[in-house]
Amino acid sequence: MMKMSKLIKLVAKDSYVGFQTFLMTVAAVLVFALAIAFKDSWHAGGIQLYRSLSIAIGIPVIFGMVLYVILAYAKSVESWQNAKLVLLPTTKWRFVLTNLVVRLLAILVNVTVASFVYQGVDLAIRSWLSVGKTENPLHMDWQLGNLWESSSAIILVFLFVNLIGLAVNLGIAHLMPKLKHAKVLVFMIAFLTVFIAISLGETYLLDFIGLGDFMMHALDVVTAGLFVYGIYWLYAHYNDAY
Amino acid sequence: MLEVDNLSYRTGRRQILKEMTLQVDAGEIVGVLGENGAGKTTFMRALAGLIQPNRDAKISIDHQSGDVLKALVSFIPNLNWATKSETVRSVAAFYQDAYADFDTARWEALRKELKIDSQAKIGKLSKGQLERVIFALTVSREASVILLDEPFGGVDVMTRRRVLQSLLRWIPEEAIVLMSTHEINEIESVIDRAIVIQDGRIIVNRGIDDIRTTEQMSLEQYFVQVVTENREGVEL
Repeated sequence: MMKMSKLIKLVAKDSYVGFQTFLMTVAAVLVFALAIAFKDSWHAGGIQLYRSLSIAIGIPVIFGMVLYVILAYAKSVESWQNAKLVLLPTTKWRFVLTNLVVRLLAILVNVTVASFVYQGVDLAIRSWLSVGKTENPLHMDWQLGNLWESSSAIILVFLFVNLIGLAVNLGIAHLMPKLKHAKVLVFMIAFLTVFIAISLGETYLLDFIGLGDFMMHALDVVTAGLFVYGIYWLYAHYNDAY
Repeated sequence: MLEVDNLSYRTGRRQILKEMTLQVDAGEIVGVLGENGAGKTTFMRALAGLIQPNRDAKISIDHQSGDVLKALVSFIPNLNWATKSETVRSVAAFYQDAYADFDTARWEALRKELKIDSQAKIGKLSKGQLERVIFALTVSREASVILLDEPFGGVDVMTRRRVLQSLLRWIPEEAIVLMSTHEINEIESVIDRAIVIQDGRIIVNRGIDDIRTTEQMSLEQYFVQVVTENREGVEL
């Protein structure tokens, strides 16, 4: 059986496949947008130039990050049926936990790095043009603290997407092969249905039973545990890798 | 020794493998024969651990079963995971990293024998070249069981012979090889035993010498006869 460090390395490496192409695409869009911004506002200078540059940088960065997260989630869902990974000589539990933790960390690290780089560039432009922070038309104010505060939601959503994605993929493969080409639609329907059911359940617990903060955190932990077990159960009993 | 007992697999309403039982001794090379859709690939996928068979199925290698089988079985169903721009070298690097029993010297020797260019991009390889890469990577592991699914797909006759020679030269002495193919004549001189799968069942499991001496026919003739008989009256 393979060493844990090797498994982590291979899963991490796999989670970055295609990342370079993605970065180059976003960079190309950025260069194009910056060229237009400079051309239009260079002579105006000051606040006008800063606003143009903020939009030229901010919009590709926001769309790039959202797109990256969606693609990374999709890649994570597909990984459960990736023969290359499924055949790795390790136990099922070890693979499930490593695959989830490493991919989630990779997403969090990349988003954090992107937000830091954006803030650094924004600060440099503001210093260069002597413009205040409030002039940013996109009002983007990312802080690392926000990311950690919402970490439980980020983890739950990640686990939820993986659970529903795997269930949908296996359901289509085993029971409804005719829906193979409507995977995304089936996923969206299943995702929203289960999401609404869980949200209603939590709302009921909050409003009618009146759970405190501690109990809500405990509920989050139990829900995360159930999601992980659900992924393991589907993977261990019904997985079908290609 | 590879032992398979009561292996069945169902997907949806379709029963693909039905109560398969098989024992293969160390060092045996087994030809897995059957028509398209008979269940050969699914059988191999079940042995490798890519699909989950019925709960009472037992698969063991040298009396070991469960997750440890993945370390003992060498199987590469495809290289679909590799991006088109990836080179053969980078794909091989993955297997070198992932499997402690990957023999780099054997891979290099096989690569040269089978004329595989390590700088070639996966997206530029023909079907036959891709099969050669998969074959060489699979055989480069010092595994107890080696599964080769259609290693001759898209491979010309001369290369087929080179592939078989390489198999005989490089296969570990105690390794079990299961090789599915439609090129029955080609493998007849190489295999020790043949199993025939039809509609998800193993309908024949016999030594190749036994077939030749008892039936007085080639493996291909025997295969056609057995499959026709089991189809109950279908003319060929």
